[in-house]
Parts: sequence; structure tokens; C-alpha cells
Amino acid sequence: MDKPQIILHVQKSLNYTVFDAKWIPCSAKFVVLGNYARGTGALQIYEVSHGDLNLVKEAEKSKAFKCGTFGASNLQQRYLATGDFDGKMSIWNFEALEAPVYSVKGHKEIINCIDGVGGLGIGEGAPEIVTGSRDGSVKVWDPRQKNDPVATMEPGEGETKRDCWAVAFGNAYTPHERCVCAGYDNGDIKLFDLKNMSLRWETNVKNGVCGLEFDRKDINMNKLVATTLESKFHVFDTRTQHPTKGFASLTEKAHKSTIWQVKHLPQNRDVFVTCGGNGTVNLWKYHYPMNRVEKDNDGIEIGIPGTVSMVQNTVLSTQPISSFDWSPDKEGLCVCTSFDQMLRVCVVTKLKTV
Amino acid sequence: MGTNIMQGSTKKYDIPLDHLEFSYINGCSDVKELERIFKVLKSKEEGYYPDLEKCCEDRLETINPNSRLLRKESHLMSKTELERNEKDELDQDLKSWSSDMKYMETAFQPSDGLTGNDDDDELPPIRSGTITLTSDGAKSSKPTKTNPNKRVTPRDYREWDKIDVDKELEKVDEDDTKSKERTFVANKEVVNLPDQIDSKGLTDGEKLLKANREKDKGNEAFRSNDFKEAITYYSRSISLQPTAASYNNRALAYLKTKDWHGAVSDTNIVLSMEPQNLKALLRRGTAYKGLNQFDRAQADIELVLSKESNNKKAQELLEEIEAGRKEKKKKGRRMVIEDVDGETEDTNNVSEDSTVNVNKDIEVGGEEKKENGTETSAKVPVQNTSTPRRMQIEEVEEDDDDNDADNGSDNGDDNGGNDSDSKNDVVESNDNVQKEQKTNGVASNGLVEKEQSEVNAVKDNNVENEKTDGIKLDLNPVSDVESTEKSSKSTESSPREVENDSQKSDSDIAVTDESSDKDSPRSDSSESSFVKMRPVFYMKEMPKKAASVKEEATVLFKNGQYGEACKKYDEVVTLLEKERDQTVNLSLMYSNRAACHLKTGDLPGVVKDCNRSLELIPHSVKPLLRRATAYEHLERFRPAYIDYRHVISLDTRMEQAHLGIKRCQQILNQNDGPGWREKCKLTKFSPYDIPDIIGLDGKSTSQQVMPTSQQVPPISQQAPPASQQGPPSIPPINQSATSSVNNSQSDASKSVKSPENTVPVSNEKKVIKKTPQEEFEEMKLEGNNFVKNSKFKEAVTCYNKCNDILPGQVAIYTNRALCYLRLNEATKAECDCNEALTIEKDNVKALFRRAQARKMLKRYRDSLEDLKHLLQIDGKNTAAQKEMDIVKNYWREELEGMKKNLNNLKEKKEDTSAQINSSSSSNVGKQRKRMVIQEVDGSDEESSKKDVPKSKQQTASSTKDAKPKVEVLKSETNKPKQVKKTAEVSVKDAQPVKSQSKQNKESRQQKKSTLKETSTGLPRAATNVPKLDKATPYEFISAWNALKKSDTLLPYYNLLKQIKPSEIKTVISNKLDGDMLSVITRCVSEHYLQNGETDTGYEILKNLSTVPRFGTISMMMGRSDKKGVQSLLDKLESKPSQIYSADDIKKLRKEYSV
Repeated sequence: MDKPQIILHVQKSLNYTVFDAKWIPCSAKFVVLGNYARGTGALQIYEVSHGDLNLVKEAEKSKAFKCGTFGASNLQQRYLATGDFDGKMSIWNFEALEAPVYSVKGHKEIINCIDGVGGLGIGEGAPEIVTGSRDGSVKVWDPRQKNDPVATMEPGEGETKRDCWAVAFGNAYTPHERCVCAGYDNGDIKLFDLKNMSLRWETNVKNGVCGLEFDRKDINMNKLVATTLESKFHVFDTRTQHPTKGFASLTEKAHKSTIWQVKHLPQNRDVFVTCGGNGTVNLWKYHYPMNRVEKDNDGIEIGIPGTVSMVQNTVLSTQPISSFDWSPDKEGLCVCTSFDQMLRVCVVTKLKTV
Repeated sequence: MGTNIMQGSTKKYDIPLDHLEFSYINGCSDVKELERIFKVLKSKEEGYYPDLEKCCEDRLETINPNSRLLRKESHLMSKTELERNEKDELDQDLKSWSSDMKYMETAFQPSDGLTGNDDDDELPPIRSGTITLTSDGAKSSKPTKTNPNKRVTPRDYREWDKIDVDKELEKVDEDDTKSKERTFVANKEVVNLPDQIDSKGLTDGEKLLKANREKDKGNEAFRSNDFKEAITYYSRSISLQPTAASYNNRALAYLKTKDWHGAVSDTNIVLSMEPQNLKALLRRGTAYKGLNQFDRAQADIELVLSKESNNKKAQELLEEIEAGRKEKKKKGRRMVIEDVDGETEDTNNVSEDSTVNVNKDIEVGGEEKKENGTETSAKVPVQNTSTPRRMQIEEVEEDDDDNDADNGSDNGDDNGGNDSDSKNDVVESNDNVQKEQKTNGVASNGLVEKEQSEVNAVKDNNVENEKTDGIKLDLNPVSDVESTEKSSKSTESSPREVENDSQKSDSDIAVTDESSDKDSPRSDSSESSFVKMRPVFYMKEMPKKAASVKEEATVLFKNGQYGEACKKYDEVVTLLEKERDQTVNLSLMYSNRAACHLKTGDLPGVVKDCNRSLELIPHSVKPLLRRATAYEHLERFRPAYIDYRHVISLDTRMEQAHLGIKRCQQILNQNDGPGWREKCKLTKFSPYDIPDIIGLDGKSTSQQVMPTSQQVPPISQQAPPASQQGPPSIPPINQSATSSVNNSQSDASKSVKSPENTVPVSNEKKVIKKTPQEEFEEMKLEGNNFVKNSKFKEAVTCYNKCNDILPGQVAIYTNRALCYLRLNEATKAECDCNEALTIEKDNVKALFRRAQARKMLKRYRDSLEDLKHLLQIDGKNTAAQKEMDIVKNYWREELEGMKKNLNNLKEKKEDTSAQINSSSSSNVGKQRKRMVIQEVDGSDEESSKKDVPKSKQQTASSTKDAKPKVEVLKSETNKPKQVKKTAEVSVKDAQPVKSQSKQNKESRQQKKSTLKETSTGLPRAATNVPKLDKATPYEFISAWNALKKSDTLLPYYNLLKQIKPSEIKTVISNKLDGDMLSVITRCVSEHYLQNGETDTGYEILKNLSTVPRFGTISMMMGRSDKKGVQSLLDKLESKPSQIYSADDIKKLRKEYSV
């Protein structure tokens, strides 16, 4: 048994539907976001201590929370940015949960997904939050600017509005470079270059895109993983962009159901988990090819995809895994929520051996 | 029914039933088939055969362990399922982590209660933009950073007629492809990622976190074979938190990129932190192997093996080293000699089986060291003794024989300057060498750099070389000089320098080639006979006895028995001192002994040994570093500082020295106050003083020692021929350089020479006792002052000097570029900017100036590129944005003009103006250099070459009658000559060809006017006058606006000359404003009238009065302007003409309401 194992550390049953859980950086705490049966939003903070989970703080808000991120907050403040069912993006200070420190009704419909960059020492440049919504728009927010998004990516007048299910920041390796990737329900993946305000690349993976993540946000973008309905996920090598063929990619089948999420191990960008609708969690390792770049017939460089190997495949629940988060501070520690209203803190052992 | 199902499933997978059987499965190697069989079995439709299924699974796993069918879901393990120790470990781990985290949480609370928002100003501005997704692509809009191509300047309606839709579309396409290219490139490599992270404002916790993260990134990049990126990230991590692990990892990355030196220095750091780090040792061994320093490599690896005897990698490496050594022996390659590194390094650099090199040293070398020596007080007269003579020995006849040539190559210099003496000396040494060769029984074939000097041919040259050499040495600040005792010692050891001879071209040995390669740019550039060479030292094998003792010493040193090691080194030194040709080794041994002393704390001993070592081989890094450390410990910070500086100037990568400088600076600043620098006399040397040490493997150290030497521009290497007092960087050559620089300014530049001559001369005296740094600063300051006072030529001279003193300073290049820009020498400006940009890729100033220069050169496209780049770096740079608008306008005009001209050509119009236009614009199209017509007095010939050497020009002009006049003017004017463009020719139809005399007059007038301008303190050179392709309002107005920056009237005059007076009404149309009116009237009064073109002047005024809105504008005229017009009209009136009468003037007066 020398391969990594997923071991349950502690679990807890909750009385609301959990949508998201996030580790609070540099602490043994995490925050859980969800939806009470009466339609209100749940926000709870737990602390892992002595093999148990202690509820440290909680709050109930008028609208259900869908997603949250610490990505745009600095390490001293650690404010949480959330997206709710009402299309509102708020930033919360855990010391004063009565009212958000920043709040904007950014979207007409539910905010499905949120991501942040520029905080926590991850990503150079300004702190920014991106939200994707059912109203078809993707908006970038800068906590320094109230009320209005700093960038908007939306369908034109009269175009069909696709439900945006996933957003991710990437390429934030200098203060100016930055990309946002968005995945839509029709299988579209669009990569927006925020520096040039341009659509840098787009593709369609045929099935709705549920999860998107760059292997790291704060490097010259390296890999992008997109998970879809119909049990497939795609890994794009984003180092080399061919003018016509775009990024090289590989496709892998797993979970035999919707793949809800992908999360890269913060300590090793080539290891990631995918979370399936059948309650399984798969641990993957990406292997680079011998050469990542070759020349095509016209002498233009084109990327070569690598391979992935499954390291572990574990059933966590009978219900879909709604969220998964690696602890940024402790390699292998993760929190995981599922639609059976369960909260699990797990440890993945021997990650170093991968 | 049952059979049907069976058939169904086997059919579905196309597997015959009899394949579901142990022997078949075990023999099957087809993955696909096995997978199908496995599926059949798993479906259990053929029945439940657990063993067979297991067998199939195993088989599949052996053949294809990655098969998807083998993926099995496992249940979530609970801790109870783990083994006890594992569980405990896990619990313990988490427990300690959670308590750690509690501590961490508090660590991030900023101590001063600030919320950490104070760094907001460093963040990029809030962005803003929208991307609209449509079915046919995305459209983006950026309100803040709109493409300034459009809607910047309100356009004339007529302009719309000119817009060519196709072309506009093309432009858009072009932009598209360009951006594609850019992103493509940017994607491939980490662009502009700094090596350092500013840790300002970070708490310790954050720093640690960030350092770890950067290290992780480095690891990942390393794993994906992106070594360069890995190095960058490791460096970033190190800049936040220098840890042994990061250094060790970076060392590995360096190894991968074959940067052996980087690897060595990193592993050294690791080993100084963790002396027992086997990985680091192994890596250093590998690096040494890469450097072909097999002995050191071996020592490292043997050390590893002694601790971990079955380390496979080490064993392999050892074998490789053996192999490499054999090969080396075969080839007789020579080896880079490096001194023993301060802390941990061993001293095995000379091995017994290495081949012999002839050692040649010089007295001069010794002399040089004395200058470095800061210790002893007794002064040695530095004058005549050091004017070495190169000996030309009668080895000519031996030239074809390798061995003999080796010996013969001792074109050694003798201190005495006495021919017979030196001859003896050489002969002696020859004997010595031969003896040694005999005793050692080693063939010396091809080991030595040969001086196949065509002796006789270059004799004189050589002598002169010597002279310059000696002078150079003298020039070095001889602040502290070694005791005479030492000098005598150095004489004893009689190091002899071998001078590379630039003339020897045909020697076929690699080193010689190399060195002559290195020399070639110099010898090319310097037509003068002063060719300076670096002293070259050859490493020789040590006598056996000494080598074995040294070996012992090394071992002792490594074991930390420094005292014992020191004694051993004493022995070696005494042994070596008896030998004649062991300069390099001796120097090394001294240096090593110094290391021992340093360890034992015998600081004066360190200083003494280092002095000796440096005496033998000057400018070597390690003894310098050790001496600096010793001085620092002795609290003699000034010499320590000087030594550190010296080290840095030799090898900028020495971290230790950088740190040392910092420390010393601090203390010196405290002790001596802000003026402390003046008290430190930095050692000065030219790159060619640094000895080239040829090791046993034949590699010279030059590359590594002087990373900057390549950049040194040729001029700076030439020492002034015989001036004994000045540092080598001063005038004669400079002047020739600057004067050639200024040549393009035409004859007027002569006048410039006077300040040039006076200023530097006064400077020269001042400068003598200054360090290069100070000298540099002073020069720079002076240059800057000149710029402030708009004396650009003088400034250029200063900057040239700066560049000679300390080459490779970005600021100098950018400043000089500015001057060139002002002097209208776009090409040179561009060169300088290029230079600056190669040093610093993203220098905003350089980019901006290059853009300007390129604009002047009409290479609008390149200019735009630069501006874009600039704006990428600094998006807020409004100047750049404005410039971009301007350039874009120009470019557009140019494109449109080109198109028009093409049409014209097609139509084959006989129109002369069209012809001229097309010729000029074809120039533009090819992005040629701007042609400049220089007005030579009284000449109707145009010398269009920009860089005509001055002398030539003078001779050319001297044939002219008007020459004396020119001379007068030259001495009077301080102003660069107005440069005109070929476009002026296109004025022909507007201006009838004038008689010779008139032209003379005109040009003289013009000169007067330039004089005037200077006297009114208008420093600027004339702005380029845009050409008018056609006298259309648009062309005219844009040309006019382009001149807005010009301070003089001349360009306006030139512009006006391009249009017929009768056209004025049309071209100005409704654009007349007060400024324009005043400029035109002033033009008329200052240029037309003075040039005698009163008629044209009158016509202009008359036509001007018919321009729309003239009435209003003239009413608003300022008082001074009115006065000007008044006097102008007076003048007109006083001059008789056929065209106008007094009545006409009266009418005009009325019109102008004066």
C-alpha cells in the first residue's frame, strides 16, 4: 500500500445543503457555505482540533450562498467573497459578519461560480474576483471599485445567454498579465485575456463544463483542466498556443457521471482530484510528454499533451460531491462536502510519492 | 435461452468461448482482447469464475497496468483501518499542524495594526473593459485604453474622403496577426519575471509562505523540464528566504542548463550551510566535471562515496570522470584554473598526471600587484623599471617545431629593460622548461599557447605595446605599494608575461585562436599601433613532492584541521618558491594558505598571503575576497571595501562580495560620513590588465573572470599613447570619436570643438586622482548639466567619456541618446537606445527615445512597436501615448502618400513634383535612412552623406571660394548646423532656380539666422520639415502641426516655401489661428525678407489676408505681433518692387489693421 490513500479524518452531518467549503488560509479552519431548507444562506466556520470539528462561528443570511473564495483577500484580512442565489457578490469579514464589507448585485440570476486572484500572495497584481452567472455574463470585480465590475464578458444583444457554470483565473504571473477562463452549459470554454481585454482562445467540449481550474493561477499558464457532464474531463496544455489549433489537450473518462469539480493540489500542480456525481473522488497525476512542443508542418509550434494516470479512486458518498478544497497549508488535508449534507475532512497520505 | 445469452455476450465482445480459459488468457498479450475477456468475465454472463477473473485481471495488469478496466473504486478508509503507528503518526501530524496554525494565525496580524492596504499604490490601476460575445466572435472595448488610432484628433471632413477602406481593414488584420504573434511568444517563456521579490511590507510569516510557494513553483517547473523557469522561481524564493534546499535545487537546475558555475556557487552556499549535504556534494562534483575540473569533481564524489559507499550515481560519475580524464589526457586539453574557494573547496586543481604547461610570468604582473596591495608602506618607484621591453628571441627558426616554439614563445618582458639581461633570463627559463620537461618526462606537445609571432615584423609594435602596458600600469592609482622586499621577491620568482600578439594569426592552437578572436574586434577598430594584451599566465604541473604535500594539505583543510593544513601549505610554498615557473601554483598556494589563516583567525597572515598571491597573479578573485574578509575582520573597512569592489568588478556574481560591500558601506558611511567614498581609492584597472590564466586543460579563465569585458567598447581599451598623468579614459581618442560623431553636423561642428577642448582639459587635471566611479559620476553630472543647458554636443562628449570610464551603464546610453535626438542624429540615438535596451530590456526611457529616433528616421512602424512595448510596461505613460498618436498619424500619412504616389507613377505623370515625391516616398517605403543635405556655403553641390569624415568635408569645402567665410561662421556659431531634407528639392516649382550668387546669399543669411537663434537661447535643432506631397489643406495643416514643437522659424519657412503663395488661401482654409498668423508673419520678416525674397513675402502676406477668418484673427493680434507686422510692412515698403506698389502696402496695412 504505497500509493496515496484517502483517509477520513472527521465528518459531520449538517442540517442544510452544502454548496461550498473553503479552507481559511493559514489556519486550521474552514468555512462552509450553503442553503437552509427555508431558502436562507448558511455560513459556518469550523475548526479542526484534536480530531474533531468545532463550530467557531455561524451566520444566516437572507439569500442562499452558492460559492465563495479567499483568492482576492490578503493574508492579514482573509475576507471571504461569496456569490449567492440572488446574483449578489459580497465580501465578508469574519470578525463582523453582520454586514458585508463589500456587496454588489452583480448579476440578474444566481452566481454559479466565483474565483479570486491577487490575494494570499497568489498571483501578482490587483486583487480581483470573477463571478459567473446563469444570466450568461462573467464579471470581474475589484474590491477597490464599488458597484461596478471592472470587466464584463457577456453575450451580445439578442444572443442566447448560456449558463456560465465555471470560472477560473490564471496566468497572473506578472502584475499585468491575467486571464479568466469561463465554462458554459453548452460545452463552450472561453479564455479571456484581461490584459488586452480580448478573447484569447475558445473551444467546445460538447458537454456542459462544470469545473475549470488552472493548475496554478500565478504562473505563466501551464495547464487547464475542464470537467464536464457525461463523465469526461479535459486537460489542456496552455503553454503553447497554436494560432489555429489552440491548446493541445487530452481527454479522460472517469466517475461514470457528471464530474463536478477539479482541484489541483496546491503543493504540486501536477496532482489533482476530480469529484464525481456518483460520490467518488479521483486522484490524478499528470505526466508531461518528453517534449511539450513540436513544430507542425508550417513550422509553427504546437503543444503536445501529456498523459494522466489515476492514482486513487475512492467512494466518499452516495450523493454528488458538491465541493472539495485542499488545505493550502497542509499537504494532503482536504475538506469535502456532498449533497447528502455531509461534511468530511480527509487526509490524503503519501502524496509525496506520487 | 442460456446459450443465446452466452452467444450474445461473446458476440458483443467478439470473444470465442474457448478463449475464456486460463492457458489462453495467460498466453494472450493483446491488451484489447484481454480487456474484452475481462469485461465478459466481469459481466458474469458466462457464469461466475472468480479465479479466472482474477487471473485475467492479473494478466491485464502485467501487460497494461494503466488499463481503465483495472480502476477500482475503493471505499473511504477510516483511521481505524490504518496500522497503529501510521494512525498515530497521522494524528500527531495533524495535531502539531493545528497548533502550528494557531501560531501562524497570529503571525499574520500586522504588528502596527494596519490592515495591510497600504501597498495599494503599487497595485496596477483598476481595469475596465467589456468583451461582448457574439456568434461570430468576441468584440472587446476598453474605455480606458482605447486604441488611440481613431477618434483622438477630430478629423477634417475632407479627410474622410481619403480613408481607404481596404487599407483600414488591412491595418486591422495586421494588428490582429501581430497580437497573435505576441501572445504566442509571451506564452512560451516567462516574460519579464523578475528574479527578486520585493519583500517590503511582508510579515515574516508571509515571507516564509511565499518563499515556499515560489520554491514549489520552481520544483514543478523543474519537473516539467522548464529549467530556466525553475531557476527563476528558485531565485525568487531565495530572495525571500535563502534556504539550503532552494540553493540545492537551483544548483540542480543550473546543472540541467549546464551552467556549471552557477551550480558550483550554489552548492558552495549549501555546503557552507550544511557541510554534510551529500546531494550538494554530488551536484558540485557533477558541476566540476562539467567544468572539466576532474580532480575537484573526484574529490567531491569520493567524499560522497566515503559516506555512502553504494551511491550509484556517485559511482557512475566517478567512472565518467575517469573516462573524461583519459580523454583529456589524449587530447591534452587544458583546464581552467580556479583558486580554492574560501570555505569548503579543495585544492586538487593540479594533478600529477596533468600535463605540463610552461609557466610564464612577468615582472609587470608583479608590478601590478603592488598596486593592488594596500598593505605595506614603502614605495617602489614605478616609473622606468616597469617599462618593459619585449624580447624578441631568435626563435624564428624554431617556429615549425612545436616544442621549441613553446620555449621560444617566452617573449618575456624583463624588468630591467636591458636587452642582454632579459635575454639571459629567457634563455635560462628556456633551459628550465626543458629541464623540467625532461625530469617530468611529460611531453609538452601542444600545451602551450604559442607565440608564433612574426617577430621581426611586429617588433616595433611590440615595443610600443610594452610601453603602453607599462604606462597603463603606472596610470593605475599607485596608492599603496608593496615593500621593496616584495618586489625583489617577485623579481626572483621572475614571472614572465607572454604577450599575445595580435599579429600572429596563423597559429593553429585553439587558445591562440580564441584569444586572437577576442582580440580581433580590437585590432580591427584600433588602427593605431597600440594594441593591448592581457597578461597570460600558464599553469604548470607542480613538482611531485609539492603536489603530494599539497594533497595532504587539502585533505587536512577539508577535515577542518586548518592549522595543520597551514603548515603543509608552508611546505608547499617553500618547495614551490624554489621552482621557477610556478607562479600560478604559488599564487594558489598563497591563496590557500590565506584560507587556512582565515580559518585559524590569523588575519594579518591572511593579508600577507593574499598580497603575495596577488603579487604573483593580479586581479584574481579569491585572494582578493579573502583579503577583503580579513580586512573586514580587522575592522579596516576601507581597504576591505576597495577589495570587495575590486572583486565585483572582476566577477559581478560574487554574492559574498556584494554583501561585503553593503556591510562596509554602512560602516564607512557611519564613520566617515557621506563623503566616505572620496577616501576610498578604488583600484582601477582595465579589462586587459586581468591576467589570462591558462590552465592545464588549456581553458583560460578570461571568460569567467570578466563577464563584462565583451561589452567594453573598443575605444575605451586604448590607452592614451604617452600621457603619463591621465587615466586611460581621457581625450585624444574620445575626441576623435566625438568629432566623428559630430561630423554629421557638418562644418559648423568645428566650433563645437572649442568647448570640447577646453572642458575636458580642465577636467583632465581634476580627474587624475579619482576613482573610475567618481570620475564617472562627475562626468555624468557634467553631461547632465550640459543637457540642462542644452549644450548637447558637449554633453555627448561627456557621456562618451563616461562610457569609457565605466562602460555598460544604461543611464549613459539613454542620456546620450537624448542628446543625439536633440542633435537630430536619429541613427546614433537609435544605436544608443539599442545598446541600453540590450542591457535593460524594459528601459522605458530608452524605448521612448528609440521610438522618437525611429520616428525621425521615418520608420514609423518600428517606432510604433517601441511605443507599444513601452505602454505595455507602463500603461500610464501619457507622453508615450501622445507620441504614439503622433507617430500613428505620420504613419498613416506615409501610407496614404505611398499609395498616392503609386497611383501617380501608374499615370506616369510628367509632373516633376510627383517625381520627386515618389522618389522620396520610395525612400520612405524602404525605411531607409534619412538623407540629409548639408548646406555648404557657396556650394551648389550637396553632400548627402551623413557620416562624411570631417577632414574630407573640409577638403571639399576648402576648394570653395567661400571658405574663409565658412570658417568665420564656424567659429562663431555654437549651433549644430541646420539640417535640411531632400524634400526641399520639391520646392523647385514654387521657387524658381536661383542664381549662384543668390543662393550663396541665401545660405549665408540662413546661417546668420541660425546664429541668431542660438543667441536667443533656442537650443533645438531644426525639426524635420515634413514633405508636402500636394498642397492640400490636410497635408499642410498636419505638417504645420508637426512643427509645433520646433522653436525656430526655419522649419516653418521651409514648409511655406513648399507652397505657392497663391495657394495659401486654399491650404490654410479655415484653420487660421493667431499663432499661425504670427508665425507666418515672422517667417516673412525673418526669412523671406532677409533672403531677399521680398516679392514672395509680399505675396504671402497678401494672400494671407484673403484667408477665411483672417479678419477676426488679425483683430486679435497681440501688440508685439502687430509691431512685427508694422515693421515688416515698413520694410516691404522701403524695398522697391515691380509686384507691389505703396498702395498695395497701404491696403495690406489696412487688412492687417496696423
